[in-house]
Amino acid sequence: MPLDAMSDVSDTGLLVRFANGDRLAAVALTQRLSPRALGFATRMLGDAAEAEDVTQDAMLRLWKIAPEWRQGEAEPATWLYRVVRNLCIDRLRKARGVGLDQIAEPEDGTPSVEAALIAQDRAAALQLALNQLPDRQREAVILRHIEGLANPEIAQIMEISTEAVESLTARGKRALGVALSPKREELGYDD
Amino acid sequence: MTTEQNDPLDAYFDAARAKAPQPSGALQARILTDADAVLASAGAPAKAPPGRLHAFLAAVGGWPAMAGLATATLAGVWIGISPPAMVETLIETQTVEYLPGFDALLEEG
Repeated sequence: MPLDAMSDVSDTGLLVRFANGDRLAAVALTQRLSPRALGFATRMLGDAAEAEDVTQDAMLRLWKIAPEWRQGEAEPATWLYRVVRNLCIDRLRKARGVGLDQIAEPEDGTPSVEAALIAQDRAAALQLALNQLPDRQREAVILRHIEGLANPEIAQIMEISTEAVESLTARGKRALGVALSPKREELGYDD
Repeated sequence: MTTEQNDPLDAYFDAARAKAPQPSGALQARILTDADAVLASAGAPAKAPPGRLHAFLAAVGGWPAMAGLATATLAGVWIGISPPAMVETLIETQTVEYLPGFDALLEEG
Protein backbone atom coordinates (compact mmCIF):
# COMPACT_ATOMS: atom_id res chain seq x y z
CA MET A 1 0.00 0.00 0.00
CA PRO A 2 1.48 3.41 -0.96
CA LEU A 3 2.11 5.97 1.77
CA ASP A 4 -0.69 8.28 0.57
CA ALA A 5 -3.24 5.52 0.86
CA MET A 6 -2.36 5.05 4.51
CA SER A 7 -4.01 8.33 5.50
CA ASP A 8 -7.29 6.42 5.88
CA VAL A 9 -5.78 3.76 8.12
CA SER A 10 -6.15 4.23 11.87
CA ASP A 11 -3.10 4.50 14.13
CA THR A 12 -3.87 1.05 15.47
CA GLY A 13 -4.17 -0.32 11.93
CA LEU A 14 -0.79 1.16 11.05
CA LEU A 15 0.77 -0.35 14.16
CA VAL A 16 -0.56 -3.78 13.22
CA ARG A 17 0.82 -3.36 9.70
CA PHE A 18 4.19 -2.38 11.13
CA ALA A 19 4.18 -5.47 13.35
CA ASN A 20 3.63 -7.50 10.18
CA GLY A 21 6.75 -6.01 8.62
CA ASP A 22 5.32 -3.03 6.71
CA ARG A 23 7.99 -0.32 6.81
CA LEU A 24 5.75 2.30 5.18
CA ALA A 25 3.44 2.00 8.16
CA ALA A 26 6.37 3.10 10.31
CA VAL A 27 6.88 6.12 8.06
CA ALA A 28 3.19 7.04 8.32
CA LEU A 29 3.16 6.60 12.09
CA THR A 30 6.30 8.70 12.45
CA GLN A 31 4.74 11.50 10.43
CA ARG A 32 1.54 11.26 12.41
CA LEU A 33 2.69 10.75 15.98
CA SER A 34 6.20 12.14 16.35
CA PRO A 35 5.11 15.82 16.07
CA ARG A 36 2.68 15.26 18.95
CA ALA A 37 5.27 13.50 21.08
CA LEU A 38 7.85 16.18 20.31
CA GLY A 39 5.42 19.02 21.05
CA PHE A 40 4.43 17.59 24.39
CA ALA A 41 8.03 16.77 25.38
CA THR A 42 9.25 20.23 24.37
CA ARG A 43 6.59 21.94 26.50
CA MET A 44 7.28 19.63 29.41
CA LEU A 45 11.07 19.91 29.35
CA GLY A 46 11.63 23.34 27.82
CA ASP A 47 14.64 21.88 26.02
CA ALA A 48 14.57 21.00 22.33
CA ALA A 49 17.46 18.51 22.34
CA GLU A 50 16.14 16.61 25.33
CA ALA A 51 12.66 16.61 23.83
CA GLU A 52 14.05 15.03 20.66
CA ASP A 53 15.74 12.28 22.67
CA VAL A 54 12.52 11.60 24.56
CA THR A 55 10.55 11.48 21.30
CA GLN A 56 12.97 8.99 19.75
CA ASP A 57 12.93 6.85 22.89
CA ALA A 58 9.13 6.87 23.07
CA MET A 59 8.79 5.94 19.38
CA LEU A 60 11.30 3.11 19.84
CA ARG A 61 9.14 1.75 22.64
CA LEU A 62 6.15 1.95 20.31
CA TRP A 63 8.00 -0.09 17.65
CA LYS A 64 8.96 -2.68 20.21
CA ILE A 65 5.49 -3.11 21.65
CA ALA A 66 3.81 -3.31 18.23
CA PRO A 67 3.76 -7.16 18.00
CA GLU A 68 2.05 -7.37 21.39
CA TRP A 69 -0.42 -4.54 20.73
CA ARG A 70 -3.92 -5.55 21.72
CA GLN A 71 -6.64 -3.77 19.80
CA GLY A 72 -9.24 -1.96 21.86
CA GLU A 73 -7.03 -1.32 24.86
CA ALA A 74 -5.79 2.19 24.18
CA GLU A 75 -5.11 4.42 21.24
CA PRO A 76 -1.46 4.41 20.19
CA ALA A 77 -1.40 8.21 20.53
CA THR A 78 -2.69 8.03 24.12
CA TRP A 79 -0.16 5.30 24.92
CA LEU A 80 2.62 7.39 23.37
CA TYR A 81 1.66 10.52 25.35
CA ARG A 82 1.81 8.42 28.52
CA VAL A 83 5.27 7.13 27.67
CA VAL A 84 6.49 10.65 26.81
CA ARG A 85 5.07 11.91 30.09
CA ASN A 86 6.88 9.24 32.11
CA LEU A 87 10.16 9.83 30.29
CA CYS A 88 9.86 13.59 30.84
CA ILE A 89 9.10 13.16 34.54
CA ASP A 90 12.17 10.94 34.90
CA ARG A 91 14.35 13.58 33.30
CA LEU A 92 12.81 16.43 35.29
CA ARG A 93 13.40 14.56 38.53
CA LYS A 94 17.01 13.99 37.62
CA ALA A 95 17.55 17.61 36.64
CA ARG A 96 15.41 19.12 39.37
CA GLY A 97 16.40 22.66 40.19
CA VAL A 98 18.42 23.26 37.03
CA GLY A 99 15.96 24.05 34.25
CA LEU A 100 14.55 27.48 34.97
CA ASP A 101 17.77 29.48 34.90
CA GLN A 102 18.86 27.86 31.67
CA ILE A 103 15.87 28.92 29.65
CA ALA A 104 16.49 32.09 27.71
CA GLU A 105 14.35 35.06 28.52
CA PRO A 106 12.37 36.50 25.62
CA GLU A 107 14.52 38.95 23.74
CA ASP A 108 14.20 42.56 24.77
CA GLY A 109 12.70 44.66 22.07
CA THR A 110 9.88 46.88 21.24
CA PRO A 111 6.62 45.28 22.22
CA SER A 112 4.72 47.10 19.52
CA VAL A 113 5.88 44.86 16.67
CA GLU A 114 4.27 42.76 14.00
CA ALA A 115 1.85 40.07 14.97
CA ALA A 116 4.21 37.19 14.25
CA LEU A 117 6.90 38.56 16.54
CA ILE A 118 4.36 39.22 19.24
CA ALA A 119 3.15 35.65 18.87
CA GLN A 120 6.71 34.46 19.35
CA ASP A 121 7.04 36.50 22.54
CA ARG A 122 3.77 35.14 23.83
CA ALA A 123 4.89 31.58 23.18
CA ALA A 124 8.19 32.15 24.96
CA ALA A 125 6.48 33.87 27.88
CA LEU A 126 4.03 31.01 28.19
CA GLN A 127 6.87 28.47 28.19
CA LEU A 128 8.59 30.36 31.01
CA ALA A 129 5.37 30.41 32.99
CA LEU A 130 4.74 26.71 32.28
CA ASN A 131 8.19 25.87 33.59
CA GLN A 132 7.23 27.35 36.93
CA LEU A 133 4.15 25.17 37.37
CA PRO A 134 4.19 21.95 39.39
CA ASP A 135 4.69 18.98 37.04
CA ARG A 136 1.14 17.66 37.15
CA GLN A 137 -0.44 21.06 36.55
CA ARG A 138 1.95 21.65 33.67
CA GLU A 139 1.11 18.26 32.10
CA ALA A 140 -2.62 18.85 32.39
CA VAL A 141 -2.48 22.38 30.97
CA ILE A 142 -0.25 21.39 28.04
CA LEU A 143 -2.36 18.37 27.11
CA ARG A 144 -5.63 20.28 27.44
CA HIS A 145 -4.86 23.70 26.04
CA ILE A 146 -1.91 23.20 23.69
CA GLU A 147 -2.25 19.60 22.52
CA GLY A 148 -6.03 20.02 22.53
CA LEU A 149 -6.94 16.68 24.12
CA ALA A 150 -10.22 15.97 25.87
CA ASN A 151 -10.23 15.56 29.64
CA PRO A 152 -11.05 11.81 29.60
CA GLU A 153 -8.02 11.13 27.37
CA ILE A 154 -5.82 13.27 29.62
CA ALA A 155 -7.14 11.28 32.58
CA GLN A 156 -6.02 8.08 30.83
CA ILE A 157 -2.59 9.50 30.10
CA MET A 158 -2.05 10.79 33.63
CA GLU A 159 -3.82 7.80 35.20
CA ILE A 160 -6.08 9.99 37.32
CA SER A 161 -9.80 10.84 37.32
CA THR A 162 -11.38 13.32 34.94
CA GLU A 163 -12.28 15.50 37.94
CA ALA A 164 -8.65 15.56 38.98
CA VAL A 165 -7.71 16.68 35.46
CA GLU A 166 -10.24 19.52 35.65
CA SER A 167 -8.88 20.58 39.01
CA LEU A 168 -5.27 20.51 37.81
CA THR A 169 -5.99 22.51 34.65
CA ALA A 170 -7.98 25.09 36.63
CA ARG A 171 -5.20 25.56 39.19
CA GLY A 172 -2.59 25.57 36.44
CA LYS A 173 -4.39 28.25 34.50
CA ARG A 174 -4.80 30.43 37.58
CA ALA A 175 -1.07 30.18 38.26
CA LEU A 176 -0.29 30.94 34.61
CA GLY A 177 -2.53 34.00 34.73
CA VAL A 178 -0.63 35.32 37.71
CA ALA A 179 2.78 34.53 36.19
CA LEU A 180 1.94 36.15 32.88
CA SER A 181 0.22 39.27 34.14
CA PRO A 182 3.40 41.41 34.45
CA LYS A 183 4.56 40.19 31.02
CA ARG A 184 1.23 41.14 29.51
CA GLU A 185 1.97 44.72 30.51
CA GLU A 186 5.52 44.52 29.14
CA LEU A 187 4.29 43.23 25.81
CA GLY A 188 1.62 45.88 25.53
CA TYR A 189 -1.36 43.54 25.42
CA ASP A 190 -3.28 45.54 28.01
CA ASP A 191 -3.16 48.80 26.09
CA MET B 1 -16.01 41.03 22.90
CA THR B 2 -12.77 39.30 21.93
CA THR B 3 -11.51 35.87 22.86
CA GLU B 4 -8.69 37.49 24.76
CA GLN B 5 -11.20 39.24 26.96
CA ASN B 6 -12.98 35.92 27.57
CA ASP B 7 -9.79 34.17 28.60
CA PRO B 8 -6.59 36.17 28.47
CA LEU B 9 -4.58 32.94 28.31
CA ASP B 10 -6.11 31.83 25.02
CA ALA B 11 -3.83 34.15 23.06
CA TYR B 12 -0.82 32.54 24.71
CA PHE B 13 -2.06 29.04 23.95
CA ASP B 14 -2.74 30.05 20.34
CA ALA B 15 0.78 31.41 20.06
CA ALA B 16 2.23 28.20 21.50
CA ARG B 17 0.25 26.07 19.04
CA ALA B 18 1.34 28.26 16.15
CA LYS B 19 4.95 27.73 17.20
CA ALA B 20 4.66 24.00 17.75
CA PRO B 21 8.02 22.30 17.19
CA GLN B 22 8.19 19.99 14.17
CA PRO B 23 10.43 16.93 14.05
CA SER B 24 13.51 17.64 11.93
CA GLY B 25 14.47 15.33 9.08
CA ALA B 26 17.35 14.08 11.21
CA LEU B 27 15.03 13.14 14.07
CA GLN B 28 12.64 11.34 11.73
CA ALA B 29 15.58 9.47 10.23
CA ARG B 30 16.70 8.39 13.72
CA ILE B 31 13.19 7.20 14.53
CA LEU B 32 12.94 5.21 11.28
CA THR B 33 16.39 3.70 11.77
CA ASP B 34 15.10 2.35 15.09
CA ALA B 35 11.98 1.05 13.35
CA ASP B 36 14.14 -0.73 10.74
CA ALA B 37 16.25 -2.31 13.46
CA VAL B 38 13.16 -3.58 15.26
CA LEU B 39 11.76 -4.96 11.99
CA ALA B 40 15.08 -6.62 11.17
CA SER B 41 15.32 -8.30 14.55
CA ALA B 42 11.69 -9.45 14.34
CA GLY B 43 12.14 -10.78 10.79
CA ALA B 44 15.38 -12.68 11.41
CA PRO B 45 14.75 -16.43 11.03
CA ALA B 46 14.56 -18.05 14.40
CA LYS B 47 17.28 -20.63 15.02
CA ALA B 48 15.61 -24.06 15.07
CA PRO B 49 16.32 -26.13 18.14
CA PRO B 50 18.46 -29.21 17.35
CA GLY B 51 16.25 -32.22 16.57
CA ARG B 52 16.88 -35.95 17.03
CA LEU B 53 18.55 -36.26 13.63
CA HIS B 54 20.99 -33.46 14.55
CA ALA B 55 21.72 -35.13 17.87
CA PHE B 56 22.30 -38.52 16.19
CA LEU B 57 24.53 -36.97 13.51
CA ALA B 58 26.55 -35.18 16.15
CA ALA B 59 26.99 -38.48 18.03
CA VAL B 60 28.20 -40.47 15.00
CA GLY B 61 30.47 -37.77 13.60
CA GLY B 62 28.35 -35.79 11.16
CA TRP B 63 27.38 -36.39 7.53
CA PRO B 64 30.72 -38.02 6.45
CA ALA B 65 30.21 -40.69 9.08
CA MET B 66 26.63 -41.14 7.86
CA ALA B 67 27.92 -41.82 4.33
CA GLY B 68 30.18 -44.61 5.60
CA LEU B 69 27.40 -46.04 7.71
CA ALA B 70 25.00 -46.07 4.76
CA THR B 71 27.56 -47.82 2.52
CA ALA B 72 28.20 -50.50 5.13
CA THR B 73 24.48 -51.07 5.62
CA LEU B 74 23.83 -51.43 1.89
CA ALA B 75 26.76 -53.81 1.52
CA GLY B 76 25.43 -55.94 4.36
CA VAL B 77 21.98 -56.12 2.81
CA TRP B 78 23.43 -56.99 -0.59
CA ILE B 79 25.60 -59.79 0.83
CA GLY B 80 22.59 -61.17 2.65
CA ILE B 81 20.42 -61.27 -0.44
CA SER B 82 23.01 -62.46 -2.93
CA PRO B 83 26.08 -63.79 -1.16
CA PRO B 84 29.22 -63.94 -3.31
CA ALA B 85 30.72 -67.39 -3.97
CA MET B 86 33.61 -66.83 -1.60
CA VAL B 87 31.24 -66.15 1.28
CA GLU B 88 29.28 -69.34 0.56
CA THR B 89 32.51 -71.38 0.54
CA LEU B 90 33.49 -69.92 3.88
CA ILE B 91 30.12 -70.80 5.37
CA GLU B 92 30.33 -74.37 4.11
CA THR B 93 33.91 -75.17 5.09
CA GLN B 94 34.18 -73.43 8.42
CA THR B 95 32.33 -75.40 11.06
CA VAL B 96 32.86 -74.75 14.69
CA GLU B 97 32.69 -77.54 17.26
CA TYR B 98 31.61 -76.06 20.55
CA LEU B 99 31.59 -79.48 22.37
CA PRO B 100 34.14 -81.62 20.52
CA GLY B 101 33.41 -84.88 22.43
CA PHE B 102 29.67 -84.59 22.50
CA ASP B 103 28.95 -86.89 19.58
CA ALA B 104 31.08 -89.66 21.08
CA LEU B 105 29.24 -89.44 24.36
CA LEU B 106 25.95 -89.91 22.56
CA GLU B 107 27.23 -92.99 20.74
CA GLU B 108 28.46 -94.61 23.95
CA GLY B 109 25.18 -93.95 25.85
